[in-house]
Amino acid sequence: MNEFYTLTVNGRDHEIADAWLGENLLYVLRERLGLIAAKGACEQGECGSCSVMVEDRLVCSCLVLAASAVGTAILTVEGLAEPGAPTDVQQAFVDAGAVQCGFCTPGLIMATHHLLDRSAHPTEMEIREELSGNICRCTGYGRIIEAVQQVALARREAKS
Amino acid sequence: MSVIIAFSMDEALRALAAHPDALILSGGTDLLVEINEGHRRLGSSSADIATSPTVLAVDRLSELRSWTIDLERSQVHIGAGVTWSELVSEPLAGLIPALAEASRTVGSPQIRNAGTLGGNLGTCSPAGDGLPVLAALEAVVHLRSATHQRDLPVAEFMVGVKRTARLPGELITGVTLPIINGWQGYSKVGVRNAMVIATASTALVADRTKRQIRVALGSVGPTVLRCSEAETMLSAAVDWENGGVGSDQLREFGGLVAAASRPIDDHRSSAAYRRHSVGVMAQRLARRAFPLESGPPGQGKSSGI
Amino acid sequence: MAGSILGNRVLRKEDPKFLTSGGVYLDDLEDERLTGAVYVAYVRSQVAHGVISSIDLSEAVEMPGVIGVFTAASLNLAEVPSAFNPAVTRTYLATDKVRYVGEPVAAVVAETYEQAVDAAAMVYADIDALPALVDIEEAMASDNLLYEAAGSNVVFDTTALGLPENTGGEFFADCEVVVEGRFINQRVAPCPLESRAAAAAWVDGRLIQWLSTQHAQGALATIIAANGLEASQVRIITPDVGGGFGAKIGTYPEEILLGRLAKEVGRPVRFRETRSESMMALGHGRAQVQYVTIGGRRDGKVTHYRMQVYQDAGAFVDMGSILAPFMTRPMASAVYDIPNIEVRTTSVVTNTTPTVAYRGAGRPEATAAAERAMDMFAAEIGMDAAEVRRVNLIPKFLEPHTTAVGQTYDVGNYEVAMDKAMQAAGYAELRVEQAARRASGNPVQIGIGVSVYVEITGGVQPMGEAAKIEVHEDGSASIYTGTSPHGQGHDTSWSMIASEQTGIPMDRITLVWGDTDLVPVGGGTMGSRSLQQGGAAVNKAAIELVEQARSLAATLLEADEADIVLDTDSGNFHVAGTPAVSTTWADLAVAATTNADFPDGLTHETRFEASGATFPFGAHVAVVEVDTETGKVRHIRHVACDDAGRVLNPLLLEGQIHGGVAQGTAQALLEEVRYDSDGNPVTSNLADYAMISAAELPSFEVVHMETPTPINPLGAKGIGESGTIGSTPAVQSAVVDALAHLGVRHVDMPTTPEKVWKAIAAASN
Repeated sequence: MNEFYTLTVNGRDHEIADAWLGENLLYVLRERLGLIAAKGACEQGECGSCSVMVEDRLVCSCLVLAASAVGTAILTVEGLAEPGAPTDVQQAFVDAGAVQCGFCTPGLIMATHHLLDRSAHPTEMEIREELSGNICRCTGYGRIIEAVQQVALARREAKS
Repeated sequence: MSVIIAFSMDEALRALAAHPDALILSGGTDLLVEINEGHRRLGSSSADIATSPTVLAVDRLSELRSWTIDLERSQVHIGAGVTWSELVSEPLAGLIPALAEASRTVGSPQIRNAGTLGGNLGTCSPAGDGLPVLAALEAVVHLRSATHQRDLPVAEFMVGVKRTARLPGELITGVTLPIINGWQGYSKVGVRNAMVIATASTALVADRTKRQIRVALGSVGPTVLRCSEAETMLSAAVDWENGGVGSDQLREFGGLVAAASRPIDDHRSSAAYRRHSVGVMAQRLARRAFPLESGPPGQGKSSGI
Repeated sequence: MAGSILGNRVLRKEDPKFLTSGGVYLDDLEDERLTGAVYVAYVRSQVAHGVISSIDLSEAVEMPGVIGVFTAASLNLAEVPSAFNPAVTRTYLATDKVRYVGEPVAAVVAETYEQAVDAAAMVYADIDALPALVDIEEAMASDNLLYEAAGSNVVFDTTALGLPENTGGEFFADCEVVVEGRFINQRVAPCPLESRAAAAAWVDGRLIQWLSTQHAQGALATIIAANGLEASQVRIITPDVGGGFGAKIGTYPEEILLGRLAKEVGRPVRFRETRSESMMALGHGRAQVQYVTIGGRRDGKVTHYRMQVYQDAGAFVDMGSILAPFMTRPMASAVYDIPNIEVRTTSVVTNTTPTVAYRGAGRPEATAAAERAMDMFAAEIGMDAAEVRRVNLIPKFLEPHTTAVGQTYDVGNYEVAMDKAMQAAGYAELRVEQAARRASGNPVQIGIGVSVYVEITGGVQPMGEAAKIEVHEDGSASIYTGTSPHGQGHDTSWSMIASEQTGIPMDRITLVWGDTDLVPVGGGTMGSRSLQQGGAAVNKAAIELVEQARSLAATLLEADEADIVLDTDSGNFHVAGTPAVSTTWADLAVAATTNADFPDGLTHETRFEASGATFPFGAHVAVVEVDTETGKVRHIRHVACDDAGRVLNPLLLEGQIHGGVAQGTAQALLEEVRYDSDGNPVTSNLADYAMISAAELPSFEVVHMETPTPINPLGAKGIGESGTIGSTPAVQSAVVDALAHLGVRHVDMPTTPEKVWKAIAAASN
């Protein structure tokens, strides 16, 4: 249990060997599994750049002790879509112009999926509140909010 | 040195008996910050492995992650591992609205999905958002070890800045809160709208059955403070039947609450602003609890705020 | 023929990887040249000001994994003078003195990052503390000197440039009304989401250094000098950069030393900093105290304006120290026609993190001062703040206009910008709403702030940029640019420009940048220069390349060169009137390989020199709600009319405006780097330093305005910083306006609940 454990990331089991036990999930994803989309920018859950899903819950992977995540389903942005087939959220970020330097983007994609999977009709206030844990220094958030609204609308239209 | 993931209460308590000083990991929103900052080096290659602490992960314990509603006794038991996100959702939000209100102000969605009420108690920061609500509701904290279990009023559980009455080997299993007849609410001030640590916070409970107002303050003392003088004053001044209170009484109440605070100057705020703001928040919460303007002048007039 | 692509809302080519696998920033980089890399961690001073008596490395060197621990002495580091004041010198690791908390004192190299960090904690610097100077004005007056050789804590002053000192009270003798203010333009942290990381490796006697930078070619010179090498011996490579905002223009000691350290240990080295290190050691921005006096007539005309600016340089004389004289001072007149202006700026070293350029870099400070002064003047004479502006705006000009401080602006149409913004905001209705709210006695009041601004972009040498376009044998093309994108979307923009001229599809164009072997000369991306100089260079290169290709096509098609036309829809060259007789870019590229006139193949390099800077302008209207009991401010509306000249791609333009407005608002409302009286930073993580989130901002209402500049053929001015410059004073002014009826005339930034509450309390006393 201590130095060898298995994590289930994006549907695949990964053996983690010789780990330092204080390693957080972000570190393990990036340094041991080579999954670099989740980024570290604050080490304390303030910026959201490292957001991933653990058992359908959006969390900051920097605040998850990796060794304690054994047996949970972990999803990162790399596991969201097949190459060349972006999710509706990913496509909306392109269409709305919601990406600039890109550093916060993977975390925002995860947060947006999480939001829209639970709330089909988010108000602008709700979107802003739900994305408040994902800091973006470049965009001023306007286009990100627009992308979220586009997906919400498209999903509603597809349903009706 | 190890990380122990407990899958049952028995396992957890046995592990705690073996490692009474184990670091208890639930949502990780406090402990991981310390680990990441290097304040706690868990089994780092260069730390002394023998003395580095054991981590006991309790986030899989179904007993901690569940809650029960006991309508007969008008109370709710909330497991220590219930997250802020769960506290914002029905039915808990409807039964303990002040706790839901406080939960909504905790960090971001990511933090609320991970952080737990038990973690708030265990860390016992003066700025912990759940704590003023627990204090105003006079919640009872449940502790268990391999050999005993005990219950403590939350006011006795919270001892000081990041200090609690929890003994080595004990696990916080949950809290019991009354379902009260009456209004309850929580308010805080901080620099941002979201993701903000409370500069000052206030919880108010208007218990109609006991005809008692209870107020608790966060971030204005070493731990959560109750305001007995203000509570007594307002309990006697309000119109319990019609839900009213006079503006003069409200101001007096706000003044007493401010006077009960024991804030300090720090990098987040001055003591003076903290004292002022708990007074304002207390008045506003009380007005929400008693919307009618009662007593002279303008009896029965709605307040407009 | 289809219409021009320029001016269209073209989606970014860059995005897919950022959305799926994530960008490859420095710390994500895998490169075989970094195989076996070891990690560098810096030991940082925990004392703001003090004399180093000894540095004890004995425990650190025994720590697991440690390869070496180095100090200035062991590396024999030389004193390096400041580029802006040669009397101020430092070594890249502190030697005799430490001057701010976070200053690098020693470097630890270890097998892993964690080992390096753990060992760094075991280095003990014995430092005799001196009193810390945190306050600018205190530092200026103190004889406790940071740099004894400089003889003063004042390290740069406009009087040393031969500019006159400010005069006395007689300057305002003719004024009916004189208003004075002391404004704090607070120290803020740029906070790019990607904090610094870097790597260095020696390969075949050459130093290859990877940097997260806005200007690889600028770093090249620094790295060459620091390692005592020839230009040909250094290569800088820039991977994806996660934001810069000015703080990544310069190269820092932590980065500069990596080549030396890699050489010492004989292994490639990598460096990454934590957020708290970044908050202490990445340069800060703004940090001015401004004494402003404004004078004029009761009818609203401002006739006299004076500024004395104290610029906090921090603990070194870095770029921050010259922003006040060279960026704030020239823009002192702002958008106003003020006949008499005097400005003096004084830069002072303090025991705080050195200041550098930060989005706007000196211009936001000039604008904020002028806009606050206008508001206070308006309040004094009882005139609407927007009306006072109207009285004083420089009238529309399409020929260069020179202000009383001697700065010449290219084109301006300020009143129209203000009208557009006020109209979009519904200014008159807002005032009615405000009056009603005041009458209601509601504790939550409305404030309306108007700012009108002009700024200077592309105004720093080099005022030109090179571009090279290479057409490959498959008909695709590469553009080489000396600009350095880190979020701006240059791949998209430069491809649009090149495609427009050549007809080569955008998705067949690749952008090459930030690698000094491939692009040895370039001005980087800063000061909103990229499109107007780098983009103009690409445009010029593409036009000239087409000319060359036409001559080659004429040979190939055996026609007269004058008859060859390029069909930019198909990307084919053909004989005029005979589209069937055509040749492609691919054909031409192949032909060029054997043509003596094209020794480098079908490639063309050129340089665009701008004849001057450009002066984007605009107007912002902010609406806030202020809770007068708690002091809490909510920013509820923001209208931005920013004129950046001709627009290349509105999607990218609006992204820059939005980002700028958010950053400017953040300064007005939230962000401030603070120190305690001992010089310890108290805002050194993102819990204590409140970066602005989506929940603090309204939707931005962007109003379109285009006044092309004659300075470049694209008609483009910079847009990277305008939003920041216009928004800060509008938001600050709105907060003050919400409290005007309570007698409040000014609230310093950031307008936190506590400051607002104190201002109300002070006004009511």
